[in-house]
This record gives sequence, C-alpha cells and structure tokens, in this order.
Amino acid sequence: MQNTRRNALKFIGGAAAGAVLTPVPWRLITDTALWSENWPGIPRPLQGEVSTRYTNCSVCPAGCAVRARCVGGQPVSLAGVAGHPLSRGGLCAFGVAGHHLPYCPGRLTAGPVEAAAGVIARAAANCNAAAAGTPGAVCNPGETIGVLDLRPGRTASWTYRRAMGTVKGGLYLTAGEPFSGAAVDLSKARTVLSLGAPVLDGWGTPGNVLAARANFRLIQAEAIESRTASLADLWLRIRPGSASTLALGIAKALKKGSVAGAAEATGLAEAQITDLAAELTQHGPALVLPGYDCPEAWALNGLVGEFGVTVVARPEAPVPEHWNKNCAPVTPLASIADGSIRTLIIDESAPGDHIPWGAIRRKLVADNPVVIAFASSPAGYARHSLFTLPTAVYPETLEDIPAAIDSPRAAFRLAVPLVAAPAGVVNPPEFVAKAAGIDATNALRERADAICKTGRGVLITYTDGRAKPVAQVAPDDFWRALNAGACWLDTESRRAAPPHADWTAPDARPAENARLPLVAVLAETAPAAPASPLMTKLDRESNLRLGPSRAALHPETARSCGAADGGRAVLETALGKCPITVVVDASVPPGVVQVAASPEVIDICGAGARCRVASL
Amino acid sequence: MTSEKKPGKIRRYGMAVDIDKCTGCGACMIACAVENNVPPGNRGATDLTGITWLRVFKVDNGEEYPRKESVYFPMMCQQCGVETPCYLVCPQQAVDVDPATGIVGQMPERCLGCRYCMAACPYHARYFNWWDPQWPAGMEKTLNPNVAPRMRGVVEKCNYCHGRWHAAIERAAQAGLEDIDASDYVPACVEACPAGAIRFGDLNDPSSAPAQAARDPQSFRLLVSLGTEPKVYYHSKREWARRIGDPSQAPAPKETSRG
Amino acid sequence: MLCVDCHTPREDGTYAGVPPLSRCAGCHTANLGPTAAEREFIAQYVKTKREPEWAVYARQPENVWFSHTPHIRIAKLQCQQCHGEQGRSELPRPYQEDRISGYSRDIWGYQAVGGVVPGMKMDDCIACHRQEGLAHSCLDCHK
Repeated sequence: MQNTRRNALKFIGGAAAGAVLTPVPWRLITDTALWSENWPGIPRPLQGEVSTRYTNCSVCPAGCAVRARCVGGQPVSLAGVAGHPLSRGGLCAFGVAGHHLPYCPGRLTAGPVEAAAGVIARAAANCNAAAAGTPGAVCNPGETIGVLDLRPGRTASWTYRRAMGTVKGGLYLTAGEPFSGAAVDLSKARTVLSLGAPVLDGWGTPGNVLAARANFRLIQAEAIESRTASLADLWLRIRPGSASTLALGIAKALKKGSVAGAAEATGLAEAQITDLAAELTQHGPALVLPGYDCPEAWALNGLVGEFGVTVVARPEAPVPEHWNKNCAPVTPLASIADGSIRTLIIDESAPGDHIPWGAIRRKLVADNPVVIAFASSPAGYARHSLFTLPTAVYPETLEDIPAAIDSPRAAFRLAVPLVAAPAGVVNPPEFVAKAAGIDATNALRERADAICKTGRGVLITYTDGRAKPVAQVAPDDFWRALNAGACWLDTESRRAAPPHADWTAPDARPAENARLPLVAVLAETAPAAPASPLMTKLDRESNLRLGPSRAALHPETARSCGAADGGRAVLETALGKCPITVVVDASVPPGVVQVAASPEVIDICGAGARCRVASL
Repeated sequence: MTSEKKPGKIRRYGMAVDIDKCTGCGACMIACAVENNVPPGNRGATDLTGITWLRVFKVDNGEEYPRKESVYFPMMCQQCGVETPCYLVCPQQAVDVDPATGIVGQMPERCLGCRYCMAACPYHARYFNWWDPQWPAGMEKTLNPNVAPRMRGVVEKCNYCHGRWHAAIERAAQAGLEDIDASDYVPACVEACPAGAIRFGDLNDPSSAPAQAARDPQSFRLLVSLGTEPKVYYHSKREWARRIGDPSQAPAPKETSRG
Repeated sequence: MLCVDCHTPREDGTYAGVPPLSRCAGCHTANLGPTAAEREFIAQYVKTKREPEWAVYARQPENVWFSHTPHIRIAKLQCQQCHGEQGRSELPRPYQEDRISGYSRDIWGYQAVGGVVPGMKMDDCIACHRQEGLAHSCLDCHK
C-alpha cells in the first residue's frame, strides 16, 4: 500500500468506524460510570445499626445454633456459635445462606386459605359423624382424616396429635422407619460402620460429627463414591441396593453363620465381611448407621451390644401433662391400611426426608382424595396436593427444633423470627388446631413452662456462654432466654431396647430387568427447595456438588445411553419419569446412575431402583 | 501512595489449610459469597465463567478403587508475596500490595477489565464479572454493607475479607486503640469452616497457625518453583497430597468433567 | 448549636449521619422563629411525618469506606476541619451534583470557588493522611 494521504485517511476512517463497532466506546462510557461506581441498577446494601442476634437454624433437623449479624434488624450474615455443646460452632453451606430463603424466587406466598380451612373442618366433622354412626355422613366407614408430619417431635407435632385426638379415628402419621426411636452418641463410638448414611455430608449435626471425627474409624459401605466414601478410613464398594444384604451378612457372621450369600450379593469377599463383623465387636464401642435403603440395619447395633452406649432412645423434651390426654398416637405411615385416608394434611413447612409420593398415595382412597399441603416451595408435595397453603420460612418462623439424631440428650431450642413473614402465609399447626377446634396459639410457651417446671437440665445462653441449671431459672426468664436463641439441654439420656429383626430372612438380590438396565443411586441429600441462589457456587460455578436435576454417569454408560456431558435426558423407572441433565464422571461405577436426590427424583426411585436413561 | 509510612506493626497475613480436615462441604465458599456480596451465578454461568473467590476442588491420588484416596482442596488467592504477578501486569494499577498487611488488594473501581491479571495469575484465583450483579427481588436487603458490589466488566478476587478488616479497625477505634485486636479480624471462610480446616493469622507472629504451618515439614505451598512466595500453607499427613503443589508430579487427568 | 446536637453516633459507635425526622421534630413541633422556611418544613415534613430527602454534600460513592470513629476518637479532628463551617450563613451553600455520576460536587467536581469548603475528594483525604504520616494502601479506605 502506498504512503499517500488518501490511504492514510482511509486507514484512519476505517479504524474509527471499526472502533465504534468494538466494545471500546461502551467501555469508555461505562468507565466513567465505573469510576463513580454509580451505574444504573446498582444494588445498594442497607445502612443502619449493626446488631447481633442469636437463633437456631431450622432448615434441617440438626438445628445448629446461629449467630446473625443484622444491619438495621435485617440479617446480612450468619455464622455458627463457637463452643456450643450441640453444634460446636458449625454451620453448613445451607445454613450460612439461610437468611436468603425468604427472598428465593418461586417461593409460595399465596394460597386458598379459606377454602382449605373449610375443607379440614368439614372433614373432621364428617369423620366424627361417621364414627358416631350418624346417618348421611359423607365419610365412608374406614376412611378418615390424617396429618402427615415430616419432622416429628416438634411442639407443632404435639398440636397435630391433639387436633387429631378430637376426631374419631383421626390419624397422626410419620415416616416411621422400623426403628425411628434411636439417637446416637458419637462421642462414645470408636468404630462406625455406615451403610450408606452420609455421615460427613449432611448427616446429624455437622459440627458435632466433625468434632468427634478423630475419635472413631469410619467404614463406609456404599455403591458410589460419595463425599463420605472418599473421606472414610475404609470404603467398601458394594453393589447398589445391597446394603441390607450386607447387614444380614454381618449378622450371620456374628452368629458364625455362612456369609457366602451376602458376599455374592454385595460383591465383597467373604473374608471382608467376617473381618468387618470382627472389627465391630473387638475395637471399642461400635455404631452401625443405616442408609436410606436399609433402615432395618439399626438392629445390628443390638447384635454388637451397643444399645445403651452408642445408640440410645430418641429423647424428647417434656410436654405439659394435659397434652398427653386425648391425643392421637404416633402412627407410622406404612402401618395403616391402604386406601384408608380421605383427607390428608401434609406439613412440609419443616421437612425431613422426602417420602416417595407412591408410598403416600396408596394410603389414600382411590377416588378423589383431598390432599392439603403446607409448603413454601412448589417443588415438593405441592405437585400432588389439591390445596397448597404457603408457610413462612426460616428465619421468619417461631418454632422449636427437636434434638437431632446425634444428640443423646433431649434438647429444646427455638428458631426465632429475625424478619417478618409476608402477609398471606399460614402457621400450619395453628391452622389445623383452629379447624379442629382446639387452641394452640401458646403451645410453645406452655411447653417451655413445662420444661422449666421439671427443674431438669441446663439452659445454655450465648451472650455470656454459660450453662445454668434450669432449677435456678424462673419461667419468664427461661422463655425470654429461649427467644434470644438459648438452648435447653437435658442432663441424661435413656437406654433403648433393641428392636427385633428377622435375621433369618433369605438374602435379597436386586432383580434384573432388561428394559431398565441401570440402577439409580440417590446421592447428595439437600434440604428441601427452595435453596439460596448462591448454591450455584457449589453446583454450577464449581464442581463440588451435583446439583438438583443432575445425574452422573460413567463414560461408558453415558455412551451406551447416547448422552453427552451436559446433555438433557430423561430418567425413567417403573414408577415414572423425570428430566435430568447428564454429567459424565469416571468415578461412577458402570451401570449406575448417581442422581441428586430431589423430591421429583425420590418420587420415582426407591431403594436400588432399576432405571434407564434416554437422551433427548 | 505508600511511601511515607508511620511506624506501625508490619504484618504478613497468611492462611494455614489442613486438607486432611476439609470435607468439601462448601460452607466456606458460600460464606465468602455472602460476606463479599458475590452475586449468584447468572443463568449461563459455568465453572469457567462463574465467580468463586474461594473454590474447593476434589483432588485424588490417580489410583483406582480400592487404592483411590481423595482430598478436598480449598483454593483462594494465594496473596503472592514476591513478584506478585497480577500487581506487575496491571495497566491500571488496580492491584495494590499493602506493605503493612501483605494483602494483595484488587481495586474493581480502577479496573478496566483487560483481564491481563487473570492470565498472569498462576493459581486461577481471579474472576471476571461477565454480567452485572443480579440478586432476586428483595434479596438486596441481605447484602453486606461493608463490601461494595462490582459491576460487569471488572475483575475481582479474594482480599482476605477487607470488610472485616474495616470492621476490626472500627471496633479498635471505638475502644480508643490505634491497632486492631488480632483475634477480631477473621475472614468469613475461616469463621465458617465447620471442621476448622482453614486458619488465618500473621506469618510474622511465630505463634500464629500459618507461621506454625510454615515451619511444619508436612506443609506445602502451591507452585513454589515459580517464586511467587504464596502465603497460603497447605498441610497433609499424606505424601501424595503434599505433591499436589508440584505440577511435575500431577497425575494424568481422567475422562471426567468434574473436579 | 453544636454539630453533635443532631448528628450523633449510634449505639454501636458508628455515625448515623443524617438524623431522622424525629430529631428535628423534637424541637420544631411548632414554629420557633419567624422564617417561612421553618413554616414550610413543619407543614410539609413534620406534620405529614415525611422524611426529608436530604442532599448530602459529603455522601461518598458506594465503594468508599469511611469511619468517623478513628478520626474523632483517635485523631481528635473537629467536624469543621472536613465538613466546613456550617450554620454561619442565612442560606446553605447550593448542593451541586455531577450529571453523569450523580455525586455531590464536593467529592467529584472541582474545588468550590472561594475555597471556603475543604474538599472531600480522595486527594484531600490522602493529603491529610500524608501530612500525618499515615499513608495507607487502597484497601484501607475502599470497600
């Protein structure tokens, strides 16, 4: 190109035109805005007085103690309470972002409150009428009303029991695994065998587990490389769905029987099973923790003789005397007859583990049952209910948290409202109580007074870090302290009787199925949706967790399903289908679908569910 | 700017991370995001475009079951003490190394988003705001007033929770003291870890956790051969884990998109 | 009147800046003087309980951390040294704002003509810090 003026001008003109098409002009404009830090839509943090408030986290049943830093009354960050005897200052990832929950997108804030109240009242009246033999009762004989409580042991649970007590045949239902009456004392254990329980990843109270970790040898028997399996002292990779067979094998080994069947089913060597049994009896107090697919394995603790040491009776804080009169008994869902519930109320406001919908549906009458769900998220039982009533979420609620599974002593602590709940939400136990005609507005205070009156236990307050014997605390001070986040802790634990287990049952084997060649294994339990949007840091902006609606497959398995990494697919089991996103991971065993356990997925997968994955 | 310095305590803040204790729970990552107003990932965000000032990785010893062992590895800005790469390359002088604390501070208000520092950082500890920060409606109330949000187009990284540093200065001033109380300044990740795997302190103070880790033969740092003198000391009893910091010994990656 | 009659620290020691309407209404429930401005204030704000939208000369950008406590308790500065002599004129100085950034001229624009007002730009803070031998790093003042 010649050095003419024309060429130079052309170059300059072209450069100027080109520059306008680059981001440079916009960058320069926004630079000016940037240096003033005043761009449109800038989020402005609150300004105000900084204060500290204490509460207890009710996102999961652990109930860790929380210290909230508040600006002008609004919590802006949460942390654990150092030195707390139950939670040891620990707070998990979900608890740390708990103050976001009221503002999560998709949170339910409106529902047919009037209609539902009428339905419950009429259903209760109908049941009473039917039981009394009144002619013209709408309820058929044998059909009744029930409340399904997903987190039993709370004061709300007692309110439900009292409400159902006013209705003839009214049921108070829980998930009720064969031995849900157990609590665990980790500090006494020297060997822990976990049959798939996520000991280091969300089981019990995280701070307590980690504080006790150095004292015990952890053996994890699990099909997939979960976080606990990868961190355990010994990981036994068993076949998916064979955890209960392993428990049986250990029981047989302890009775000097043959472990050949168990070895074949689990894929372990016979020597490994007999060594495991020996270790449980010879190396200090042992503890066996069942996973979600082998709840009957609690009974193994009886065989290794640790009932009363590492496994104790599930403690409950005292209740007022008069509550015990005329209250419905605690009934496991599985124990009632199929098709016997006409009206079911599900309290999902303080959830524990999600029960697969199928297990609930079969207990309802076949034609037009009425399901009313109390929930704050549309992702759980709201998908199946006729009426969904919105509830407050942590930290808007005032509710109590029963002792966690790893607390051998009873505890009573309150989740205290730090922010106001939106208008339109209901308080589930008060709602049900009103419909049943009993007054439960002061239930928490009544229970606190009852505990204070027993004179048992200590009151742990945080501002001074003291544990004061309850006998020295007046009821008013007790209640005030509880509302400032304090915790009541009992001084003793109770022995438990080991449950009876049928150790002579034949070895179960997951059945083969040509149409459903893969096995689904549930991974990564998380507190029920909605979770803080910051959780994307763990599952999308990094690879730490799978994240909801994701399933991990071995590369060969993915290839055989025609699925690529990040591809959309459908997970299908005998019970239904649900959409998933595929993640390719060589650490997943071939033939296994490691799927994140969301309510949708749990509904269609049971223990060791056979499935297939079809790429979209 | 930092030429005339009133004689005061010279600190070198560092961290001691015990990777044998880390369980990969991610509480530190979330606490960091809460403390520093890091926005939730945009809809299109992936692990390459998201912002995680502190990120926990899963690293294994390259073997198969049953000899496979894994650790969880928290990675944050290593606060390079010598020849700080990001500081040296920034055309805007948007990176400032404080001689009083040793903290490498990122100034988003000076940054023009060229991302040269991201290329220079050997630890991939710097993150770019591809999108404007967006919180769901109402969640802005939960932002931390001690940290300013950043707009799109700038780079940000861990500053050892400067918001908490400011709060410690404020509290010391309220008590009439010119210097902060060492136990008053604790970054969010250190406070949040339920296992106590991350500890923080002054490397110039021989009794602090990082100073003790520096003297411990079972501690190691990342990419020491580069000469950046990072101030984060990792500790493990296992020999294979101690070799993580040395790239010449890294096992070959397997066919996996995770970790 | 002294500055601290209305601009007081909060319970936790931080400075609240602009006082709420309740502070003004503590005295100005009824007219205390003959001025029209006061009558207007009482009618439009005190009676209707509406918080005035104050135009703050000294409001810094979001990314600036400034704490009054070290400057008042440790350095023992007077309010006038940075904020200028307030209350010595009939009318307040007009509040001027930079059009693009939206910030008060005291912190963003040129020094006010006449030099009556000490500036609140970053340069002014640094000049004083340098003088006192307190040169700092960026993160000491930036959030």
